[in-house]
Amino acid sequence: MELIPGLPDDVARECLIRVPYAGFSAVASTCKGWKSEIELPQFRSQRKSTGRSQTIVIMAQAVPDPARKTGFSKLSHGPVYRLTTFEPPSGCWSELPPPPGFSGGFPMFCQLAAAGSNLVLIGGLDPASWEASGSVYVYSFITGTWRRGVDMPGARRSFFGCVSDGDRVVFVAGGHDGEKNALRSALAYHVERDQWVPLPDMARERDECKAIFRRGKLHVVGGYSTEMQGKFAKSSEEFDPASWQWGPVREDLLAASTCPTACVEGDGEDDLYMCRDGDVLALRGCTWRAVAKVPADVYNPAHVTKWQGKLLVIGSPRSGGAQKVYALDTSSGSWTSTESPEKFSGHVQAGSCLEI
Amino acid sequence: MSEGAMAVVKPEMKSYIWLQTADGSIQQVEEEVAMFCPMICREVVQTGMGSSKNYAIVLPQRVNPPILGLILDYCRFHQIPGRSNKERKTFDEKFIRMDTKKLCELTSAADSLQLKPLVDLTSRALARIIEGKTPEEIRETFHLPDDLTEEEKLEPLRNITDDPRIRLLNRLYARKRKELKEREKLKTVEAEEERVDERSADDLLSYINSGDGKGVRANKSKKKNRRRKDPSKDALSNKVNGDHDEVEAVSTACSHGEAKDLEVASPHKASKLRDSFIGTFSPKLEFDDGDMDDDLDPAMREELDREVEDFARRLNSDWPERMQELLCLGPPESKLLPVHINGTSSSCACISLDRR
Repeated sequence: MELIPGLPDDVARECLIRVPYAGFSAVASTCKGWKSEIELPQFRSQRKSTGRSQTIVIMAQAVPDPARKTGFSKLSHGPVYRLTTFEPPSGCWSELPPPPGFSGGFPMFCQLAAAGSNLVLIGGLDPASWEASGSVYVYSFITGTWRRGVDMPGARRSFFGCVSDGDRVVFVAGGHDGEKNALRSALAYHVERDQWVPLPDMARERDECKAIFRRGKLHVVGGYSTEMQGKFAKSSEEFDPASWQWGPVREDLLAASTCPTACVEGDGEDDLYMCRDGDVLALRGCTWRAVAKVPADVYNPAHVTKWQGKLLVIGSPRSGGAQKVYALDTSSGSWTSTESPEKFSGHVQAGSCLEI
Repeated sequence: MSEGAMAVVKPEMKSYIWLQTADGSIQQVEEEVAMFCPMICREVVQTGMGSSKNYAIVLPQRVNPPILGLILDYCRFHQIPGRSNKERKTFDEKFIRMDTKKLCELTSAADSLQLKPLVDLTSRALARIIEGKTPEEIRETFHLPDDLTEEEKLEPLRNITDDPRIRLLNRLYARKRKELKEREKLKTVEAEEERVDERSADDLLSYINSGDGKGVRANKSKKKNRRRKDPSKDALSNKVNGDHDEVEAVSTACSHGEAKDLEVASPHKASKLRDSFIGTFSPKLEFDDGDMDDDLDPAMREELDREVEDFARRLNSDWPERMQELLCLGPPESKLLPVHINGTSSSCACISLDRR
């Protein structure tokens, strides 16, 4: 059976790989041949290699309050979050359907990580009861559907570091448990196998740490221990999945004690980028240098992420204001801004980039 | 020596290539146009074919005369080097406007002639067609079998406003937007006409109660709650409205400095929560409605008391924790001074209607 009757299969494949990701679920529901074709790993790799893939930023974003603009900022209820997607080159914004079972609303402070063509949503606080949950939801961009994964085992943790290797595994490290004890444990979630695997413990407890995946290794940056509530450490630890071991603690990775959420992995020679006090700093080896100034519009960014080698900074000039998106070309130091439509200008709580 | 064996030299010194399609018909095409196709180019160069009618190049089976005509139109336009990118793009967009069947034939033919730019153009067009259709429509267009089982046919969640909170929010927002617009209108109207309000207090109250949209905002929203409570015993909508009220109450408490009596668990987390909640508050929390409240008659006050008590009761033991949360002082498990609210109408009334 030909993929498209009348066309040779390789030509039909050329057509299928050019379908924008929004059409994937239709393709997967058309017929057996198309469904198996689109689910092959070769489909995704062919898209990538021919430059047809789309890289999108997925965010947990608040539904904006229309009263905000007119200054009547009297809040009638807590902000409601939902998942939005943004594709920088086309400037397209859209929403993702919510996972089933979120009847009370989208969890607060959940973590997002993109592995392969899946978005993994882990944990968060139930907006009604404020209890931390260990739930795992996986959204496949191929089929356009959600599935519930195995819950995160162990203590119900929140404010943990979470990052994926971009392909198959999502790492979770640190955070705190129900008693506000900082954790030093770490776990890995295999998305396809729907399986959690414990990692050896870190050397330090790290609450509110940042996890970064770079050059095949997991780096956990910053955070604080139980005794040092709110006083962020400057150290970091590195985990090598190949040897299944943590390296020695690297003290003073961060030049100053600060919350590491505005850290992202670096490019090329740079190991790490960070937004702090209005500056974008880059770390190379042991030295930090200033790369650019954060635009005044997003002085204290709500969310920082890497998109196709550029640093994306999302924030607003004042709390509750409309969020703006700025992209920094790290080599030239120049910023480009993107308009976000009113509907997609709410506060961004978490985000991840996905190449599909 | 026969004419056919020699190259025909036309008076105007133009060269032609002879091509034969699958149906046996032969035609001659300007050399530069035909040579734009790599397959034809190779044939001419490697085998010397195409120079006369008897030695016409036999084209692949997939190329029939009408399709060949289309391909040659494409080649004729694009082989001229001086054209701008914009011109080419405009031509391409017009060129691919044809029915899907023809588009498929064209893609197939272009592929057999190895005309990559045309393959790219047509397969992109086909991909766009696929994206816009439902699986049923795709099957019909491309004559594909309907061989997936019902389970395999995924139902992508198109209704993205599944979250009842979001649905309700949208409705509330629409109403609020209208309200705000009318308020603005009223403001400008009042500024222009200096109206002397000679209505009695009773008249004013009944005017306000009729919910014309020009009345007291706080009362109006409380009225909304009342109306909604009775017809639909929808716990969720009540909860949202409950949030509305309790947050109003809380924000008043905030503005009157009760917040400083409570400890802050973690500065960062507080700011995190603050960003997502209080961020949308106006820091000044202007309550011009407050003044209006004081003018209420006792009957109205009693109703409001009852309302607040109702909500507090409904929230039960969650109320103290929720209050802490909403004051952005960290999650309940942190070591905070418990806020004592005994949920009686009088104390609740104190919080919401206390105007110092």
